[in-house]
Amino acid sequence: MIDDKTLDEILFLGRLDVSREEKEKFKDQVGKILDYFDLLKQYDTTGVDPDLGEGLKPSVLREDKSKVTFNESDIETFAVDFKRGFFTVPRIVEDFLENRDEDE
Amino acid sequence: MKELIGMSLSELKEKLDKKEMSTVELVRAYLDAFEADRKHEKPLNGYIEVFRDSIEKAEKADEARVRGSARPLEGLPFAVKDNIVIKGKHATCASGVLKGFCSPYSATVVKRLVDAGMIPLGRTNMDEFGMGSSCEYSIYGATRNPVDRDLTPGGSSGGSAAVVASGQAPVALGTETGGSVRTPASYCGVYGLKPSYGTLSRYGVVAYGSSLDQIGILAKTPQDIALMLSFAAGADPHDMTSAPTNFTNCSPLKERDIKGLKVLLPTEFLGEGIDPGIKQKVESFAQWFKKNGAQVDTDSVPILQAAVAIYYIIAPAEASSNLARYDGVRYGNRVRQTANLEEMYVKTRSEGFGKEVKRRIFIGNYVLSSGYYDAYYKKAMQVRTLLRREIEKVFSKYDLILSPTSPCPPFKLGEKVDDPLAMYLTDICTTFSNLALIPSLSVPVGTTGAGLPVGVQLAGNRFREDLLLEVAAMYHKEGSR
Repeated sequence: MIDDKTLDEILFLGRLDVSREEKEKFKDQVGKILDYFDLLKQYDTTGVDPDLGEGLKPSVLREDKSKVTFNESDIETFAVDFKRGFFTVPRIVEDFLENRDEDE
Repeated sequence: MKELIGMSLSELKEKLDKKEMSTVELVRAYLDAFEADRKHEKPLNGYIEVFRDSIEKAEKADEARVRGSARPLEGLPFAVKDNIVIKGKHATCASGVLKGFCSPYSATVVKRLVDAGMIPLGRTNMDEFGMGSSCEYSIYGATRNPVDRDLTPGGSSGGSAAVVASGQAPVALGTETGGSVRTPASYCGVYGLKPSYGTLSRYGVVAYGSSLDQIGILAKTPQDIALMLSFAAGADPHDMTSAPTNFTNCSPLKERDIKGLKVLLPTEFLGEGIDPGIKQKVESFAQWFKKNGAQVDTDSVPILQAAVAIYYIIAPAEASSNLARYDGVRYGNRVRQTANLEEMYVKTRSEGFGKEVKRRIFIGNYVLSSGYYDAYYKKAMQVRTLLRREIEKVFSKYDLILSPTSPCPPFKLGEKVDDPLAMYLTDICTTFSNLALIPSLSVPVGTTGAGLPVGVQLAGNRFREDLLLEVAAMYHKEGSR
């Protein structure tokens, strides 16, 4: 079973938040799934290569030359908030200054 | 006379080529079928959106035919799963996080089919980001099974299977990561091909598990799949894992002598947990092989039992990385009015993703994180190597692996939605092909005693899609006599 601390840490890694009620359900469901994964322990994998090797070897390589894929008007059609060639996000400068003060 | 919407792609091609009908007439027939179904008490909900501009495209196709400049697949319609992008159309992966996203480009496979003359009819419903086996985890609501509307059509390409089975499209593109084309094909009674890893370009397919993902084709006949494959396959500079294969000659399918073929029936797929009605259908298929001179051996391949566990470690691990890009910064949906950037990420993702996607991102981050990496992710990758070696050994002796597509017939909507492990275990017969990068085809073989569709799966060596389709075509021909 996953403890609360691990649950919160892993949720944070995925930048996810779930309600307290959902967390309990989550722990139970994910716990059962992780238990199921234990069946892999029976396989001796000493010295076995974990890479896919030849199977995923690139078969098509492009020339190493830059080219224009999308222009700004293309980006405007799908971007959430795109101004003067930039994707805009909430201000982060104040956070940075506040954090610096705390660090000092 | 057979109704237009009941015809195969190849029959429609013949009628168009002989000018026995117009493309406008054909496209309208599918749009009418969609509209009629919307009025049903329980609509199938196979399409998220139908494209009204398909009529204009049909008019242009008719004009091209009059001019004598028709392309090889001119005017033939197809449906596209909502995680394969089409220029100028929305693509949301049935997720809130991609609400409003309109694609500035087309997937290579879509582009090749459109360049050959085909017309996209609409985008089909799916489990969010391909994560599900029942087509219920969608912001647009569940898709229903045309055979029995209280049942799941299978997932994640449930919308694609439902529209083909119900005559709302002659063929459809789906995507596979662990069975997402074959399972719905078997539940809805149509053919579903998962090609080898590399046969079809993944450029323009929204990434879920990049070492497993592959576009698949759902159709009424093996010949229809071969026809699509002959135009869609081949290396693509935009996808370095696409393979320089040549399937241009696979259509029309050749007569295949079944005599002398060596077929393995693994006992792992016939034991406990397999529905008796399905087991009986697989055994009948084995009898058909024998009757036609093939050698069928029943033997154990013990490592197949590890496939679901390997899959549900590797696929979520890759998904947790691939889905990190949905943070509200560049595209899709953004939760506004947040105090800072970090809160914007968390709120956008927490409100945008559904419960199954969150669960898989969580599992992925868990198995990749320090302290668990070796025990889960690395171990799964190593056992995947063992599995691939075993499958290679099988194909050094055999031409085909025969099994059920799904261990159970289509189940009731809602039945497994809150039991993720039970849902994952419905993928028990399909995930090994994705892990081993090989092609597999679900062949509709009739129904169980209760009248529910059954699919039998044929798996072949990498890039032997031609063999699977030719064998299925021989079976299909015999069945329709």
